[in-house]
Amino acid sequence: LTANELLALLGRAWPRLLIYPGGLAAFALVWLIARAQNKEQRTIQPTTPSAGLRAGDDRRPTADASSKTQTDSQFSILHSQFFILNSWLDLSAIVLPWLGLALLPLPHAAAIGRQTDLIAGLALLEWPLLLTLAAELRGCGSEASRRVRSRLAATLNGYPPLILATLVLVSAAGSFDLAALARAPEGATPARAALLHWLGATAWLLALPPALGIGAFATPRPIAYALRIGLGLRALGLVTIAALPWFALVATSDEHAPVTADARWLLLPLPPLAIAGLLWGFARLTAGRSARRWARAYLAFDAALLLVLLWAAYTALRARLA
Amino acid sequence: MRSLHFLRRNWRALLAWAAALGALALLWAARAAPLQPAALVRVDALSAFFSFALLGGVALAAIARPGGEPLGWRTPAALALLLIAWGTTLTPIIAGLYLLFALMGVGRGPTNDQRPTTNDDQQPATGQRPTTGDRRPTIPSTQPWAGDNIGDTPGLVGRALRMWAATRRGLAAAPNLVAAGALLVGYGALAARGALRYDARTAGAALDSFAFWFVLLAAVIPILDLRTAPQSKIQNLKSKIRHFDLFSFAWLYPLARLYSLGPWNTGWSFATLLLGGGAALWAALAALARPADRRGLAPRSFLGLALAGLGLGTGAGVAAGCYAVLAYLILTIEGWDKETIDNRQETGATQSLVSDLQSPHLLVSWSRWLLSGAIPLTAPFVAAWMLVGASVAGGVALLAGAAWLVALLSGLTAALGGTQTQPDRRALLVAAGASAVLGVGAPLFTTTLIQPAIEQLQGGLTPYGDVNIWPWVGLATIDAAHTPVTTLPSIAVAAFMLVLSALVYLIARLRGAWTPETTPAGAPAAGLGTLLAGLRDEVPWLGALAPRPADEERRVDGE
Repeated sequence: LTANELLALLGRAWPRLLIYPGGLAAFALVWLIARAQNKEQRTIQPTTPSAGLRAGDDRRPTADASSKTQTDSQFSILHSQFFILNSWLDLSAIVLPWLGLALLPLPHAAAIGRQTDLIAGLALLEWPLLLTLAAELRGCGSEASRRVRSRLAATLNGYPPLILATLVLVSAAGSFDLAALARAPEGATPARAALLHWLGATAWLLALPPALGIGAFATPRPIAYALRIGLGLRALGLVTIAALPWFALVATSDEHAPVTADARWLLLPLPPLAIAGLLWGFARLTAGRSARRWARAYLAFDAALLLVLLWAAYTALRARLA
Repeated sequence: MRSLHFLRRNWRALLAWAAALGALALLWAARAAPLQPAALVRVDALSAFFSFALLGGVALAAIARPGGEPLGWRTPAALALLLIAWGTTLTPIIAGLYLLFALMGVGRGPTNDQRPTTNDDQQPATGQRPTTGDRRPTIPSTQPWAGDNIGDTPGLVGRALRMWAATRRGLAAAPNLVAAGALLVGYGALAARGALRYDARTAGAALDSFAFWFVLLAAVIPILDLRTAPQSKIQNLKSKIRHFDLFSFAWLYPLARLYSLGPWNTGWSFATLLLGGGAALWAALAALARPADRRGLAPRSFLGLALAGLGLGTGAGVAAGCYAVLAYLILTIEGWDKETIDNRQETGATQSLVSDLQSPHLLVSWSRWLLSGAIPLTAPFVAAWMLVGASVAGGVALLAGAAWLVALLSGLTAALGGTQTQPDRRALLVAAGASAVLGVGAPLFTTTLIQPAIEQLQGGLTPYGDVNIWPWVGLATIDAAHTPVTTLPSIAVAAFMLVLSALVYLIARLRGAWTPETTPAGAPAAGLGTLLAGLRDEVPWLGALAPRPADEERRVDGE
């Protein structure tokens, strides 16, 4: 590939960056979700603010605590007198997940020559979370301690199932390429690969609650506005990746067909909406429950995924040696 | 006159850069076919790559610390020994030179004549009042110098304890000697069985499990060198360049050289993957759970990744291994910072750190992130990414998981402790710059530095994984069926990132949202050590590594 082709690649990517899946579509969704969350917070009476601080109480802090301290700017990552440079750090909390989202191969997104893989995509999406952790660690007082502790616990509980679920999905596709992961098994696909594909897709769904910090793993929203937008984009990106394998069930089989060729395009929002609904249900059902118990459950889930991976590796080795 | 002064002041750096450029020229000359000017001298792409990495690392170090401590005679001698070892084909000579190299390194570790000091000594340097946790140093009894506390114990018991302490210090200084001994046995066995020269026609027949295990042992022992642990306790106001830390990657060469003899069997590869992946994961987890030891442990996780990559026995694996070596060098240079506040870190007291963080220079704080593995266009990320791709292409998905977890944990470690140490700004900036250049330019560096080595080692490699390079866009790893396993259009992604950054900046400026936000200092959140100790129950898998809260409290209270 030459430098000219690189320029062409950049030229072709603008609808992805500015309209869909990144850009306007992403920011509109993040705004809508934030509105819905704020509305929900206003309708639910806040619980006792210090409930989570009681000794022996392992309830996770809720978003109410964050709304109480929203006016304090003590957790902002903009700590420095060198405002221009520090603002670049703030800016990156939005830019990186935005780019991660824009590079996802969603149905009817503009085609670009070179795809990125899931590892790079997830790294771009995870960036605001790392910045949030870094900012909260430098915060002050017991509230900051509680925030960083809950977020770090959710992150550390979320990474292993997320990685293992991805590896199960990859075992079926043989590639980290996002487009390959989104491809549903066909009739000629071996039963083992098809089983691994759907197991991986389901495991990705189950790995989302700790990764997103919801329900029993609830984490408060960060104070800094840029971080909030960044985390919103990250959540959107993770849900979209989880929905990728399921799009194949509703999308039209012809990739090059016009968007409105049949009415099936109307069904495209179904997978992410269904996942969002499931996550909302999980959050409502497990809010305030023991995070430790769920952490142990996720450890068992990790062990099960590890066994699946070992089985997949064993069968692949046997097939190679046969 | 000024130029003379400049030359006199920077002659070491200039010499190092000239040598590095010379090694690059050698690599360029050997890219098509090995150079063999004399009977026992042979420079192929692998030895030229290792030479370039070594000299390039020293050159970067020279920029990072131009007025550093005098090199002495050991560092140039060790450099010369390694370069000769990589330029010869005689296996016993290689092993002998490594033995001499290990002897040079004895006593250069952190356990040598360095003692922990109390934080009272630290006070004038920082101007901060010690907090509760600063009252006394925390020295676990497992540290090599712990025996020194029995200095006043009288009688036979005291003498026995002093002897034990001296023995432990000696053992702690010897891991490289043990590695050299193992290499001597391994390469000695090769020579005894007919592979006196590794490029001999019948050399492949001499490679058996006995020789392999000892060579593998020689590669693993320096990675698991536990002397890194006490570094955190060292009160060392004057930063020191530890070139011998930089040279640790040299122990991978004898193992990689075995590909010149022939392909490895599955068991050998599996053992190498297991040891390399395990070492990498251990080092990354330990760096997260023990932030005070991060500087020593974080680079070692990439050395573990390099070992695992070499163990895959594929083109993609060797590429990942070689790239991880480059990442290791950069991270090691970053680790050369002032260690004036580590004792406070260990006790979890971050009061003074907060004041340090009130006005961080952004370039420094960005530098931390560029070295964390969290950003896709940096050397540590690309190193982990390459191994993930190579692992899946080679059918070892679990190694991919380990490598990925190492990258994520590196990012987390940077987020939690990245700016808690007082950095040597110059070293940090040089390392971060090198990381960004190496990351964005990964396709170009892989083509120039690594691809020739892969091509010349093809005889010993399997077809289960290769690297596909698009010079102007990025990299991809492909499997045996040439299906892309991972794709990272690093240059394209960097361009996208620039475009989006410019766009957001423009919008922020137009909206007037581009303003600074200064905040008052307050009491810090709980210390990192306490925080991680508190997570033992909430993150079950972390329990084995993080200290128990009771231990943490005892440390803080000094009981």
